[in-house]
Amino acid sequence: MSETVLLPLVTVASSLVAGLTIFMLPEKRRGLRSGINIAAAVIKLACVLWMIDGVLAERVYEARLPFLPGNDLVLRADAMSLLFATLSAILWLVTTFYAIGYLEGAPRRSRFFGFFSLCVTATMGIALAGNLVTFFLFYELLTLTTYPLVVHRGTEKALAAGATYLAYTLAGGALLLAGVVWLHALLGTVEFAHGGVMAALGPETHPQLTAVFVLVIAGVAVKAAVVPFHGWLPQAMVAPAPVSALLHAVAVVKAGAFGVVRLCYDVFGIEFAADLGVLTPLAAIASVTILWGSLRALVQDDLKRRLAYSTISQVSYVVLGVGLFGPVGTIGGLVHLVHQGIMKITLFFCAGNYAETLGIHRVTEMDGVGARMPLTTAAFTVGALGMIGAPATAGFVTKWYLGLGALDAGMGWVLPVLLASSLLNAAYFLPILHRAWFRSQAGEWPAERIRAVGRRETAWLLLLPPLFTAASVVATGLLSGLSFSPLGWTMLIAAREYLR
Amino acid sequence: MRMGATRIAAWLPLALLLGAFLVGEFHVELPAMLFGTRFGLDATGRVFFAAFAVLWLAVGVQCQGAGVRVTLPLLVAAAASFALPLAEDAPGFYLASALLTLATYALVVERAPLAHARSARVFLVTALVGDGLLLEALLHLTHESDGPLFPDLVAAAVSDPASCMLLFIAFGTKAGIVLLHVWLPPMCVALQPPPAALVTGTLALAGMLGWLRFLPLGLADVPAIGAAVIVAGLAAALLAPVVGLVQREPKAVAAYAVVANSGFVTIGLGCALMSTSAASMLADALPLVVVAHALAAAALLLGVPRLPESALGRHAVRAVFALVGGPLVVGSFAAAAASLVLPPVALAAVALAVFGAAVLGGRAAGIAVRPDSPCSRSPGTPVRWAALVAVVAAAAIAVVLESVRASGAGVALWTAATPAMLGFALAPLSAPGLARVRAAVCIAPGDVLPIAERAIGFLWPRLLAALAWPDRTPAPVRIATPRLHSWLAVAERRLRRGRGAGVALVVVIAALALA
Repeated sequence: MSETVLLPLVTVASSLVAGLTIFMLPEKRRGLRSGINIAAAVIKLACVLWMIDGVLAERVYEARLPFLPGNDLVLRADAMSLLFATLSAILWLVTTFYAIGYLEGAPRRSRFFGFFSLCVTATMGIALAGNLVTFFLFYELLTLTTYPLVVHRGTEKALAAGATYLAYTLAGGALLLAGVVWLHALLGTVEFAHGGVMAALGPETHPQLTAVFVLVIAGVAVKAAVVPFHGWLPQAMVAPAPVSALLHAVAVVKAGAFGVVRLCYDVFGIEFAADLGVLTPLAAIASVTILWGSLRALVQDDLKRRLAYSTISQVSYVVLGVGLFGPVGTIGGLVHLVHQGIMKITLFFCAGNYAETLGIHRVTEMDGVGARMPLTTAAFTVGALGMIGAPATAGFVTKWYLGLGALDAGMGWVLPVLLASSLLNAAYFLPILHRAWFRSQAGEWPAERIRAVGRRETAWLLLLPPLFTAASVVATGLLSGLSFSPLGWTMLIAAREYLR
Repeated sequence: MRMGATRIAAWLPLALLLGAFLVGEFHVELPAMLFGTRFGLDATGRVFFAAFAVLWLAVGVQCQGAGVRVTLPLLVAAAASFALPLAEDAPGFYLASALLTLATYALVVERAPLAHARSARVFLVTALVGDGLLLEALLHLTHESDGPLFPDLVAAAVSDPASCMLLFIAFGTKAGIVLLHVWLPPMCVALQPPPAALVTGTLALAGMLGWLRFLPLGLADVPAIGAAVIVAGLAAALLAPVVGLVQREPKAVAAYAVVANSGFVTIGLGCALMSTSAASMLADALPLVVVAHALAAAALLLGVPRLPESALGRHAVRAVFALVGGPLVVGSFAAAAASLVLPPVALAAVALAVFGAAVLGGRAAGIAVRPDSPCSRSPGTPVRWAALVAVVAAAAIAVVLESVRASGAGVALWTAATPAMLGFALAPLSAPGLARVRAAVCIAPGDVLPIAERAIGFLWPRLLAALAWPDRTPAPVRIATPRLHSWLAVAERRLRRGRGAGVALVVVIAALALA
């Protein structure tokens, strides 16, 4: 088996095998479980990095397995899939370290890490899916593998949140399935291809295709938490912090946003979608979501809930980028797929640190936390400034390209949306920073579990991951001109998408 | 180690100041930074770089304090200050400008007493809105231009008056133009003199440098924009003395003197925008007048409570402020500029504004030597203050000479000098009358700010209340959920009992795949 076939398979299978193995491990085999997790994450990352080099040289990585009559399971690495795969592979490795620290001494860790690995398997499958059926299969697998993580604590609240999560995502899956079947009836097997696959269809099918577009986009919009399909996300905040990080930055909402990108670019084709007239409504819905999520975040006192509404707002930047027909808008949207991931995972890691170390769950409990946990709060500050779009952070790069993309597309009305969003982001993040850094601690911490020892404010495994991701937020923002930065990579994607 | 770092930070601006004069023009491409950015030193940049160095040398060291919460914002603000005149494209300039905003906020909020926390909030809101508008304008100009470098952007600005207005307003938040000045007096009242002087001077330089870099000065006549800018400047120059003279807090009086002087600079800018011929005549004077204004503002705020209290010192102070305090120097420039493009009636308005500003400046100078100053002196301060005043005086003389040369005659100088001198002379005489006015009229520092705060205070809680309902699950989900919930609870209990659940799931998936 050649390298071009093997690498996509190993990329997906590494976490699958790890997950299977971990399920069988007794709870007390902590070291072995951690070793397997980390080894699988490293193997996956190595495979992805190897493929990046090949994709730059336009080498084709493809593994094709027989599945249904006329429909193979196809795993294929192209520039777009590797953007998502690289993000997931890096953040999975970081989250694994964090989760090991976070769940130290907690019960049912084998179950947790088993599903954790399966979840990443599904995410990688979505990233590398080469046709619509493969995409759908992994997309639904992601729903099933994340449910046990959402309800991991087993409380009534967690179970209720899990039920809501399933109700939403399965309904979304049903819509997506209907769209996939309809497309199959019109086109046969739908392989992803640059520029889309609709060119062969005549104008008489356009009304049908518009309906299919609505179905499939609504299907993936549930996971992307686009308004009005966003209700599950704030409730899913009952999950442990590593799961929240996974949901918001690596897997679920990102899979939804990636789905919108894949369907618009590689199934419908962005020019065909523009001709259908569906992109402007998509941009309008994304804009509404951006503002709605920010407005709702303003009034949340629960920190993770505030971050959840922030995610609803921020993920729609990706959708907005798709709606802005043109290469610059594409760059802005796609690059935010990565940027939102590293910024939001930083914020969730920090929220987890506050909760695990001091028992802080609410914004109003954060007075003076910067003095007690300066490094965590510094990381949180970087993440929050990134979300606002401050220069020298990843968020600024996104807003710059989305703004230029909007003007290129003749949609100048998007600029006030971006400005309002930035100001709203500032309105709900800066008060947190003000409390953390500039107010004095008011009374005892809610539940201090980890005592500060010298300069170590919490466990190293909890502290290092947010510091790493915060540094990445600055690096990707400040050094975005590097060719291997997320911006450089999305420029490559846009060039291949529009110049061919 | 911290002492060593403090010393280096205190004297580094001196090295940078020397560098500003010794280093020739240069340009550096940084392709990896942002979207590929460029920094360099040109004639305008050199003047501003030197001005920032003087400011940090004179004031920066006095703002230092213990702890990272003071040191870090100071270092970031210093880095951003020195990056601004070196930036040669939109992303680089925006990066430095926004970093300066954030660092200044951190500095203000850390140094202002808790009772004055509002001043930091007001500054932050104003500055964030300004930076947001700046981003909008830069995006428009970048989209319309051939590249992100200043010459490309300025060429694009000629045909985009909306972006020009956005730029004027955006940088005006830092420069303190009328209505957007509301952060300045409360902040000056809240802070000790050194940080107040540093923040005011730095932001005035930053905002006005932005005007000079991005507005299409000398490229084309933009009379509509120019007229709007002149009206804004004249409004500030006329109204600030009125409000300033009824202030009871010395630092607020000084702050309004700064706002009035800022208005004179704005008038000059507007005249340069109205006519390319005026712009070419004022081109050399504009950077100098900005520097003179910003450094004079810093000197004024720094000097308020710290000057020598002897009679000789008092006279010296009056003399210095008569020279550098603004109305004479910056007012002369405004009058010279106005004489190039405006009708005589406008010149009369400028003269009136100069008179008002001179009375206010006189009062600020009088306050400066009051023995009941609330702040203590710090060792070494008079030397640094005197050095700062000397630099301002040099810049001021250059401005006056340049203004006279630009306007072609000394008429404009006398237009401004006469009311300025008259104002200074009358300032002590007007004191008793003004004291009675102050007893009857009370305008809080920030003047229109309470109106805006009341409006926001009315609307904001209602907006939050309107948004603060609990999350509701849609009806279909609500109906289906309890049943699903009970099934899942059973499934969850079984899952919890055995590790085989995961294996079972994988077996099902494997079976599906094989099928």
